[in-house]
Amino acid sequence: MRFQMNKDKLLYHLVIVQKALSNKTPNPALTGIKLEAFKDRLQFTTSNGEVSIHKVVQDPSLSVEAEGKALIPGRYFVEIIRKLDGQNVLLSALEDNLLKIEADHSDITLNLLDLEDYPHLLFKESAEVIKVNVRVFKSLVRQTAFAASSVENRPILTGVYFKLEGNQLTAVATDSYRLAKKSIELDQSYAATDVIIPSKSLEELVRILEDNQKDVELHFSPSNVLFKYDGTVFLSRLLEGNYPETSKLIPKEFPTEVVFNKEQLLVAIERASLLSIRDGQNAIVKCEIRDDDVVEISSSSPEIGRVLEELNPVEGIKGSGLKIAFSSKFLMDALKSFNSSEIKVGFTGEIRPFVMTGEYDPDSLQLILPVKTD
Amino acid sequence: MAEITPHPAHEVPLNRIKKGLLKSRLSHALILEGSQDVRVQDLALEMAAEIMCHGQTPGEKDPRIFHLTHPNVKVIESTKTAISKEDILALQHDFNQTAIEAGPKIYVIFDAEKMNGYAANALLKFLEEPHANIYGILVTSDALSLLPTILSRSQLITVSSGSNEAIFNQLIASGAPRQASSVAAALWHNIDRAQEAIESDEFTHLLDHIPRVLARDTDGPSILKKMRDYWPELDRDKGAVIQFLDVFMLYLKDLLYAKLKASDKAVFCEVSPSLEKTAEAYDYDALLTIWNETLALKEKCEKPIHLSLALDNWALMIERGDVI
Repeated sequence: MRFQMNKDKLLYHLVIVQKALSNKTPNPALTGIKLEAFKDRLQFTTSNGEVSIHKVVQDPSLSVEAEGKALIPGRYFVEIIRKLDGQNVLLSALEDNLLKIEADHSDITLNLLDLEDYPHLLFKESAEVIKVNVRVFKSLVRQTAFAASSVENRPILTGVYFKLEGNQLTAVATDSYRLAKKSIELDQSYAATDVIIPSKSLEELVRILEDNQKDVELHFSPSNVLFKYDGTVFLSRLLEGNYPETSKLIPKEFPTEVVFNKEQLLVAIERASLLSIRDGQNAIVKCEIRDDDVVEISSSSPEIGRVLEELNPVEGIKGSGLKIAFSSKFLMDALKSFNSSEIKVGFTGEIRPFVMTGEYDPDSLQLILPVKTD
Repeated sequence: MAEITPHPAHEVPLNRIKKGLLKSRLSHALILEGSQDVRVQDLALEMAAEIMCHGQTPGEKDPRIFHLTHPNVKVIESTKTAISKEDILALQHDFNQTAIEAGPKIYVIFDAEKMNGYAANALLKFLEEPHANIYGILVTSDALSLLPTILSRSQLITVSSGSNEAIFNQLIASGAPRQASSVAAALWHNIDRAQEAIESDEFTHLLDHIPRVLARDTDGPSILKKMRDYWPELDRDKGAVIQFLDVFMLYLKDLLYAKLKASDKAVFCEVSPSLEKTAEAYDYDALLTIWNETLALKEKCEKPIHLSLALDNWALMIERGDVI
């Protein structure tokens, strides 16, 4: 293998593919970037065992003298290319499994990894390609994935459930204390299918998706899901098992409804959570919806003090007053997921789940289970 | 890890795996018991390769399995002093996802006896809900040191460089007593381990004591007293109690053989007349119940319990006739 390429362009692609490099793995091969050089293109592959990235690069500055492939220690390679001077870089595979990197006055030799140990990854596209605007897809992930479980007690809940039905793509995530759901409309109808994608894989994917008007392609298969965006192919394993039926958990009627200004509610909850009995992630705040159209947010800690915030809802409160307590973190996470400035909260009872929706967030809802307090 | 040259002792177990695969009757969990001299860890990898490359010729076996780099074959190596719950949970996290490459998913645990109680129980949960196309191979030098509930859910394959008879003959040739050789060969299937046990006074005393526990003497001491006289409370540690229970279960097996008029299979060969007399004093169901209670006690030993109380309780239960 021997080729020359513009250094900055090579670095641009390496920075993208290095996102799937593994830091701690018993298999050293997964710390490497698999590089294949063909006459007209380069192919990069990385994998951490959970997600894999594959990129095909065709560039006018690329000149391949000899085809070949190599498994290059990823972190070192990217840092070396980043720090090189000169416009172009020349890479050549030497005998004894070595790679020579030449640019300007630099001459660097790197020990290669054993290509034989690399997984045989199959980046196979499905016959049916679902195309979604990249911004829309990012908001679908951003508004749901945070609600997936971070603990492995029920592994299936560490994923986001994607259900394709007709021209509707719905994403649902729950950790059994809260639930996030969002649907988007697609340009055409597709055969019904569903997959559960690990939320961590989706977080990785979102990092390589830019905010533009391009489309991201979704390829669902029973064994994996493949996303294709701007020449980069992102492959993720799926969680095995049946996702719990969640539609019955979402109440349809709400005896009490309150419309809040999102920012006001967020700030009030943040302040109230400061003096909660439980710290940080587990802070609990109380909310009283009074019959005089005022909402009280409060928390108290016998040893520290008490916070009381009064909020005037945007519209008059519909229905009867109630007292409810909930995790401040869950409420703040849910509020931050909305694009709308006004959030409608529908309550069904003091110890029953409440649902949040936003005017400018169609087909999106957040559900939170309250906690019992004395 | 270098490429594996087959060991003669691997042939029979590998054929069992091949037959199991051909008939689609392979157990989802295998326990490979054997020592370093038969390279039991290599055999585990050969089995993994056999399962992964079922139907291919040996030359086509994926070398990554032997390099421990195959993405579908996860190996917990025995580099640490103990295998923790986190090790098992990491394994399960991986296996809850679809396979990276097409084909079955296999986990191999070297030195499975190093699993602590939490790890063993986490693995047990996994074994209780077997997933299709997931196989587990637990490698150990002593299967009896694993949780009985793991043993009961797995297929045990004992690999030895020779049969029990060969080990027995080797022990006799080295001048070891007949009774001790017979029991040690049956218990460990491993010449080194058997030799080590025979040389300990503790094992010799145990062989004298165990036939006396269940012997029915009209005016003799109670089972509880026999146990306490033999074994002062302070000397009862987990390892010794488990060894006692293992040998006791071999003796119970002999009593069951005596009931079935098959005393020739007994490993307590030197106490044959008293064995038959003791067997007559218990009915078959009572012996089976004692067996189950002993197995349950052995399982309890893995948990943080008061060993002496549990042992006393077990002796009293037999004494009171709860099981008879």
